[in-house]
Amino acid sequence: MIIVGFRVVAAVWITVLGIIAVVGNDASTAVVAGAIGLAWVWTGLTVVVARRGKLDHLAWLIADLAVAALIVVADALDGQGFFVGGFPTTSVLLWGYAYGIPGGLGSAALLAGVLAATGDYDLTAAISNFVLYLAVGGVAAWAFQVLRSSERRRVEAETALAEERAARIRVEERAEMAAHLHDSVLQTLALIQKAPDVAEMHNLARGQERELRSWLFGGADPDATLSGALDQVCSESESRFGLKVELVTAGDRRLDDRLRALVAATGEAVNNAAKHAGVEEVAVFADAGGDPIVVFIRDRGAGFDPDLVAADRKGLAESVIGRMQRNGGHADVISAPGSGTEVRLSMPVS
Amino acid sequence: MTDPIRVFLVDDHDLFRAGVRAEIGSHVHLVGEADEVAAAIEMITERAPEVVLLDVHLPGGGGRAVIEAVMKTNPEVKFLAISVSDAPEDVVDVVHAGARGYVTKSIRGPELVAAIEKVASGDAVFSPKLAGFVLDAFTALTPADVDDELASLSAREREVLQHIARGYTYRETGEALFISVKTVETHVGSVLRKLQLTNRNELTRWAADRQLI
Repeated sequence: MIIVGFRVVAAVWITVLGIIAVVGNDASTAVVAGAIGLAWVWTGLTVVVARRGKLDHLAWLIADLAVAALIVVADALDGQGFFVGGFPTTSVLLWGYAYGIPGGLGSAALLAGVLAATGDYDLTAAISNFVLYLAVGGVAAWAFQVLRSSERRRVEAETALAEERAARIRVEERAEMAAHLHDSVLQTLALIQKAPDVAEMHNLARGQERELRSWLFGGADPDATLSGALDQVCSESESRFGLKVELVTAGDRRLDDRLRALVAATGEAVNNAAKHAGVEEVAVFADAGGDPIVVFIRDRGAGFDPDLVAADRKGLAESVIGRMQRNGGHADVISAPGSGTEVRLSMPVS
Repeated sequence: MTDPIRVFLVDDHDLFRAGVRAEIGSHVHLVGEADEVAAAIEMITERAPEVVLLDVHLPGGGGRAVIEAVMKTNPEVKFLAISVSDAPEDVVDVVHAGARGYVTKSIRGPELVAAIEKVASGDAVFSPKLAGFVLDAFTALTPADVDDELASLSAREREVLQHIARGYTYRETGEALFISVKTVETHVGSVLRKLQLTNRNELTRWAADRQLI
């Protein structure tokens, strides 16, 4: 990028000097125009080659040096006036960039030699030109080297930093996992050893299994999706009543107020089964794939006659049927003494 | 009535195998056990059991690898998948490979024996979870994904699956829909066949999308 910039500046420079040489010093218009034209064409090519990242290919470098030498020779042929300016120097920069200090000094020496051999200079001017070119070549090559090594050090430092960060994250993850297992699984195992009866033991194991499963596999978000919220209310009922809730969901939806009501009604229906059905297991199936969304809560327990709803069954009437109706949904309770109960909830998609 | 069913057990957890032995050993004839894929394939082809109780997660390639290898030489062997995980992609994958059913490890002994008998007699064993997954998969797979005949479940098949997902047994499902148990079994079998003929890539994509909800 730097070299391309220099080259464009040098092309402008050679143009200005060339015009001065023709107007002020009566230089040969054809030679000067030819040199300026060549300088611009080569500058254009430089931009193209630079864009392809091939500025440091040997073939290009040799061609570049030849063009620079040609322009130096043109300077000597114009008859009058020194107009070559900084253009050849950009080739020296390029060599310094590609081959370090030897490249810079070598190309500088070559161009200065061509200049001295073809131009009409006295000894002092020739030597000063020579030294000038060498200085440009050497300093530029050295500067490129410094730039390169500082860039390399920066990349190395960044890599080291990234590795260290990754290692720290691994350590933190391990610590977090150990802490989680300690707080959950180990505590539960201790409780299981002290559990007074099998039912309690079963309950602890079931709750822990659910917790660990959702931690490992990442359950659906209870605050965002229907399946996540249903999973949460079902596991709450499980741990509160010590029963097993077999939850099956097909499809899923984002929670809104209606679906939150549907989830709450589901939880109440499960609790109701836990309290009255006298069973160890309740099946819940939610189908969110269609419209309306339906949820079935089923047990194989005692059952009852829905037409003879006792006062203590108000929970079902209020918290399930009433809640569904208030939110635009519908609830049916299908039950008969001795043949279990199924609560069917349906909520239209808004 | 007849000889006990010849069952082979594949699971990499010693404790679980011991538990299964204790629970069903007196009801079926356990002809062998294996704890990884290669040994399972070798012993199953050699001993030709009627039913293989197969863990979905196995070292050496998973349950699917066992099914695929055994099906080539012993297509009459029937597989019942069993796992501790309910990850839909695992379950549907092993059923897609050819398992005749899926149950979770929390299943009780008598239910497991009943499931093994059902699989041995050629029926499919759909747990409520599996029914839910299959309903979900067929809802998600758009008709463009698969051949039309296979793309969708019939209304009746859908109803049957919905009842099973609700926790109904095959008998209860038949009673609710006024059809015979045999008809319920036929519907479940045809759902299983449709699932197994579905493009595996489509199923994988469904399972992956499902996780992202």
